[in-house]
Amino acid sequence: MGIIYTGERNIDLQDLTRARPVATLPFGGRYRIIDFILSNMVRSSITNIGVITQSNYSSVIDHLGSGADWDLDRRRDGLFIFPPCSVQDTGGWFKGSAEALQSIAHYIQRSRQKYCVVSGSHMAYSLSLEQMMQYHQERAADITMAYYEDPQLTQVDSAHCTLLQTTPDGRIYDIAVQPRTPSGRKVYMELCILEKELLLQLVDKCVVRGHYHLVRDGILSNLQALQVYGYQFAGYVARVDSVQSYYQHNMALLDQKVRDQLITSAGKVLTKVKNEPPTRHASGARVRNCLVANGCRIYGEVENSVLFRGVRIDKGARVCNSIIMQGSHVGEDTLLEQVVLDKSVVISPGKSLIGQANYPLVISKGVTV
Amino acid sequence: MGTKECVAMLLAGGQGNRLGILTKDLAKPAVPFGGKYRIIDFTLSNCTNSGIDTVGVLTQYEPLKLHSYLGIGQPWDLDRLVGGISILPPYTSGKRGEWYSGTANAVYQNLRFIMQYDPAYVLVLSGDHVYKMDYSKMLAYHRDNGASVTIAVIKVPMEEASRFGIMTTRSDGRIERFDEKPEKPESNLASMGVYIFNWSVLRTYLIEDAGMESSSHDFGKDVIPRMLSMGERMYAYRFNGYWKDVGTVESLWEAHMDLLAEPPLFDLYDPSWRIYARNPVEPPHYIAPTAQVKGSIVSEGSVVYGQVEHSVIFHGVYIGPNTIVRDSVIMPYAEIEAGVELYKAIVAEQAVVTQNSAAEGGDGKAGAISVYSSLALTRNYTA
Repeated sequence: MGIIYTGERNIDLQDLTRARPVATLPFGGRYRIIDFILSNMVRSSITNIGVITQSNYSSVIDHLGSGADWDLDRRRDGLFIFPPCSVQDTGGWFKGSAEALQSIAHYIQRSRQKYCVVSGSHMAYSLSLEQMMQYHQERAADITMAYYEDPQLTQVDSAHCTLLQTTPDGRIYDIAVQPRTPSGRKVYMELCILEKELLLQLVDKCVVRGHYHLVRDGILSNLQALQVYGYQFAGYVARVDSVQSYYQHNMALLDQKVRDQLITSAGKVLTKVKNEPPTRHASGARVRNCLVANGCRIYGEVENSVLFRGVRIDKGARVCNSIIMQGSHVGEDTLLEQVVLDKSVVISPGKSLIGQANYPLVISKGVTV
Repeated sequence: MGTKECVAMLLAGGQGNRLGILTKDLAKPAVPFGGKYRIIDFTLSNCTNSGIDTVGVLTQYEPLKLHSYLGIGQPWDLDRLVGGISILPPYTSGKRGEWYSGTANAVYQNLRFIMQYDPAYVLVLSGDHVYKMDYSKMLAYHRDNGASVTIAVIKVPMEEASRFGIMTTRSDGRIERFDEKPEKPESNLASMGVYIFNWSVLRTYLIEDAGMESSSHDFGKDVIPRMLSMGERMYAYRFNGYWKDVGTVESLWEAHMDLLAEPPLFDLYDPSWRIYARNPVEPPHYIAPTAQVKGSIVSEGSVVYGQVEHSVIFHGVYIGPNTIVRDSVIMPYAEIEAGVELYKAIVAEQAVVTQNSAAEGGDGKAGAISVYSSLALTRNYTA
């Protein structure tokens, strides 16, 4: 079984996550970030998946629906969405993952599966959970935590990350949760495998002692007693924890190698189906090095950009190095560079907006500029 | 089972042999159209958008892909507890059983399907036309006239009229005369193959027709003329929108070019009349720095490195570097290899066009359409 916790707060996406959790942040032209972990699970034959929500979860429910688009509308198992609910005296607001897991202990308990994959929702990658499970079983591990090496990890990054330290044979001997000074480069992918009985024990021990963080309070304090292994993932990981990283990872998808690793390699990434017609490139359009979803109408010039579904780019507009989310409309004779337009933004004719590559300009959902 | 006011019977068993290799192993209604759709999507979407939720789809020729495409009808909102989509292939009964021998015979063999819903009206449709039509308006017209039969008609150019069922009407729309594919047409009001019948009237005539050995059991050739001769109240319902019979290679190609006109002659972007389809799961399409795409429609999952002009590119298509694709239709998952130049071509699903095969196809200058499929290359369809 799989459990996805969408309440993580170690991220800083400003306006992009004001009205939605990072899980449903649009990504890569037609996906939401949660699509990647959900697809990993479904492709690895996990068909019993619980999604724990926290604040502003209407977009999670709207996006996932019955789970049909992920083939999760099942009689046996399927998709379960858990709105926040009170554990002990938390009043329905989870302080951390352990509390969240405790709130669905009944669901974990009655599930038929022996193992549990526990995941966060702000990283996009394409990983075979079957291979990771095989590693887990070969090592006879109690817990296997997935990580990747980030050679460019900065201090700013590490404050958003959990870092692992492993022995040469892969055993984890230390964990640092959001350290100010990076200890190594092994970034925990917020993805672990363990038996559900162990998970319930760890969660219970945490919560009854007033602790709430599964990794810090549940796993870190048991590194001696339990066999905890690190599973290194060598593929592309889009860790979306800041506006800058959101922008960079979207732009990286213009590179075919990255697309292959993230989207096309292991199979399809499943997402909610929208019934959009194909995109029209008008006779005056000029599109170079772009990812373009369906339903767009392009009359202007677009370069090095990602266009989500149903975007309209009018005549004389020039869009460069930008991310334009679903349903936005860029008016005539405008100039956009290094800009992120959230959904349904309107840029009126003649305006120009210019951000910087390391500080893209974000326009909030539904705003008219 | 609950009753329904109107049940639609969609004729989708046609072989479509005028589409040549495109329908070698594919029923005509399942032929791809418009960048992501199949021809049958337009009729099914019309049903959904007109509030008709009970549709029997009569299939016969090469039904494998068509059946799996239709599934339980979920993409068109036709997975309903009562009604929804029902696929109706020919069947055996007792020791008998036969193929559908004509359009009327196909409906006749499924009278029991219609009976389940005890409808007041039966809407008969065909699955090989591209158009957007509100059947509920036609039904209101039918009811207002107190008609037994209403036939949707559209004006066609006089020189093409002999390809259609042609009607002569009084000023109030009542049909006086109906000629199926007349050599010398008296008018240019052509039947669109969209009929509304009062259920009791249809049932009576179909049962009678089934017993007539001389009949070819066809609506246009037999049943409609018979009804007219018996004095039934029959009206023509004028349709003024875009309608195209895409039953030939030329008309299929032309209809695609109509989508590319600016503004398009047939608009796929109308939010009040969505065209529903089974959506492929594909990433956004990618236009490379070397690519040049103009005046074209491109769907998801495609990757374009070459030059595409005035063409329709379906989902999952690969267009290699140093290519020119002009005035062409590239169907799902086809591959256009590097260096290929295509003019006025239709490339079938999953076909691979190499430089060699493209050279054989010609340059389209003489007005010929080349059709490429994984089975063969066919040339010289004159447009």
